[in-house]
Amino acid sequence: MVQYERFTLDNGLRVLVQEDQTTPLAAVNILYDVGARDETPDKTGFAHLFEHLMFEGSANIENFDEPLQRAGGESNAFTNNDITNYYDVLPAANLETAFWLESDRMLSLDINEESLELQRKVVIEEFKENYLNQPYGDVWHLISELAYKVHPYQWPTIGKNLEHIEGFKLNDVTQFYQKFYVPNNAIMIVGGSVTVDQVKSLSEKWFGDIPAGKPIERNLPVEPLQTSKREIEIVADVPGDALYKLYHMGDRNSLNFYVMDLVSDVLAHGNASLLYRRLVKELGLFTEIEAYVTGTTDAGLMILEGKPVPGVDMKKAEKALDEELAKFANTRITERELLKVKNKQESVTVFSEVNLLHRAMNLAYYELLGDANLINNEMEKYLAITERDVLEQSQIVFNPENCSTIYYYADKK
Amino acid sequence: MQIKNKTTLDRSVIPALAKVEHLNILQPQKLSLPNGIPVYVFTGLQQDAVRIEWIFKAGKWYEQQRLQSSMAARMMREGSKTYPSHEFNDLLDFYGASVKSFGGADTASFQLYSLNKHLPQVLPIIEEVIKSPLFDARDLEIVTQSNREQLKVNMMKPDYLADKAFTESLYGSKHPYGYELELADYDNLTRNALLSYHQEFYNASNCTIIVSGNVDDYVIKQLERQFGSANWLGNKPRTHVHAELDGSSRVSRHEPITGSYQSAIRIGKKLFNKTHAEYQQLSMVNTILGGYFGSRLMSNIREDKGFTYGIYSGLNSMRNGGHFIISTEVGVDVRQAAIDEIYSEMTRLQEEQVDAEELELVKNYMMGRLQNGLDGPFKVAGMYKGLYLYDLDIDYLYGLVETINTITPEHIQELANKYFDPATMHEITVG
Repeated sequence: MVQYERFTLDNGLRVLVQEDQTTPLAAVNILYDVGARDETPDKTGFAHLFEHLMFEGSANIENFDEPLQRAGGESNAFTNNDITNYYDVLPAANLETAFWLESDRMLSLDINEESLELQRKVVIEEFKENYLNQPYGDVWHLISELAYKVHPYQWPTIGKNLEHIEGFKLNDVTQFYQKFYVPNNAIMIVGGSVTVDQVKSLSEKWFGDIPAGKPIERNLPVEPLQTSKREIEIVADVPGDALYKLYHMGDRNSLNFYVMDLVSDVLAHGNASLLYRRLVKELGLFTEIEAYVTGTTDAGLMILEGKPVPGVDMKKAEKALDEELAKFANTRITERELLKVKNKQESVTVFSEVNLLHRAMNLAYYELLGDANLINNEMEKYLAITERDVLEQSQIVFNPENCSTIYYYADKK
Repeated sequence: MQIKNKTTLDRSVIPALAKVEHLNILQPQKLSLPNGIPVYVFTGLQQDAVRIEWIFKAGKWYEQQRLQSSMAARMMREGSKTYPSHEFNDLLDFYGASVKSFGGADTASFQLYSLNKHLPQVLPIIEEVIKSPLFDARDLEIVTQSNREQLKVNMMKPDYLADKAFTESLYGSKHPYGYELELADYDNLTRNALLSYHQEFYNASNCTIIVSGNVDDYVIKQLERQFGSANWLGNKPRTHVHAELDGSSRVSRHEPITGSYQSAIRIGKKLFNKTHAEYQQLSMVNTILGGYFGSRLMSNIREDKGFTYGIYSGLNSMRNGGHFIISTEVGVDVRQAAIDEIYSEMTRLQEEQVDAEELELVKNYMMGRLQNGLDGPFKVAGMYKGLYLYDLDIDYLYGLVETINTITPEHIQELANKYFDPATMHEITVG
């Protein structure tokens, strides 16, 4: 049971305190409710580039990391399609340093041409390292673009292309900051060896006078139901063929999400999974097969990814995969199989609660989803899933018309 | 440009800092199973979960042929006679348990993560797989095929190729610390090679157990029951000796890759492991140079020049050796400029003393990291694993605290001159 308390400042900043006196550390996690889905199609990759700029100093602080390191702490951040999340872990005795740093960059970021140019270069190298200079490095671009035609999940967090990153202006930075980096668009979790009273008074002191921003309306287009299958073929300099099948599924709060999360384990988690057993071991068609859900806030994807055994025809391997999925979607799962994936989920949950920072991050995201207490009762949602739910939700998802396929071929030259 | 106005609070006043000068490190309880296996226990976790790690001196160092160590460890996850691959993995999944196993430079290890409540069901299964794994030929074929494909992917990555060329340059391509895999290595691997490796090294006489999490007497009793008997005693491994390259003179080599967007850079040299008298001091010099986000290399090459997404340096320690390595990937057009900057940062450490402010920052940072790295039984157990292999214990960490608190700028400069001379470095670039 993870205990926490919540309060909200007058400017709208939500604060949750998760006391844990067994650690000498404190964690401060600030989630800003902005991600790549809030970008416009002609300026993609900006939320992530902006995350880099948040470390470039603010009105009273030349460099974000330096004072934190001096306090014995460390920070980092990540951006995804939905959120931008910043965190600091430091000795609890120096908690106030994190408040000073985080409040200063929420109040008045120092942005100039030089820091924009510099971080633009760094992000371009990040783009090259992770997306251009790797076999299959472009696959997330292909997946996003093929599966989403309307919703902004049609580009990955890094951005559609280098040209977008090269094109950002200082003005873009200012507007983005003023709109999204406001206390009423943020959730702060303070965890570790702290007290509620201490966090209350530090929050009032450092964040209390940061002016609220205008309420943010988010009117993202809803991805329409996919009514016919989509396919693309890619030929590239990669060592072997790869097959990706993408199925639209529910949003993060839907029953469909919880069911498909378990289903992905049934299908392809480990060597006892259904697809591994049939397609890798018995039929020898794939060298590996994976299934996972993207778990995005808005409606996400169930992705099946397989590498056919060298020499095996991709279409033949795909046909066998399709047959297994159809069989799965039309057969009631056994009670034992369902219990098995629930047990695994329970274990994952317990181990994820061990780490102070993980707890803080989870709390922030659950609060954003609308219920911080999911940290304690999300497991009940998994436990409540019935064999019938699995059958019904699988039939919705594993419908051939709901599928987009990427045939990624190795260039034989 | 500052985007918002100042408020009434005087934000230019930095909050006062408390210094972490001492640590209270969780000490292991040291036990022995009836057959003599040493067990180190780190308890105190709030959650009802445990991690049990079986460590064998069965790393690359002891191999007769390549892949024996890593593949024996990998194939341990494919079950035993009573619980062949599917049944083994299915039962572990059913009880929510998960296992990891790997063969490293000196040791091979098998890790179990389990909730306490399922341990009575899980541990007998683990016992069988550790004592008598099946190493089924068909399973071996499948795993080999998948690993080959993964290796083909790695062989297209400049960073993998650079790591391979770098360690080969230091130790030689036949040395266990020097070699990285090639596809042909899989051709010669047989089930028998794994069985004989297991037979020789996976026995009680060559085993150490580290248990962490919520460890009560019942957990220990179960360990005694499943792993404490004399029925799997064996021999300690005999002494192995490997010829290695001298590696003391400078090497500089570039392997181009047509069409590559980035070059992977590796610069470093052979040094020593963590038992060396100057290792802890040198680890501080390394931190200043490239061991953290605020390091000189990161500040210069990423945060000033924008040549890279990241650059780090580190000291790698093995039972019978060690080395220093700087790693980064940079745009192909700035490769030489980045290399020049790396050497200039080494030279600067040699020529100028670190100023007091920077040194204090690094000291505080390292103490904070150490405190973080020792937060909770799982983390302390992980840290301890990196000590006992060298016959060190928790006192070593108190020694590190002492080193952090007392090292001087003079000493740092002296060490930089002694060990970080650009003229002694192996410089390998790929792409």
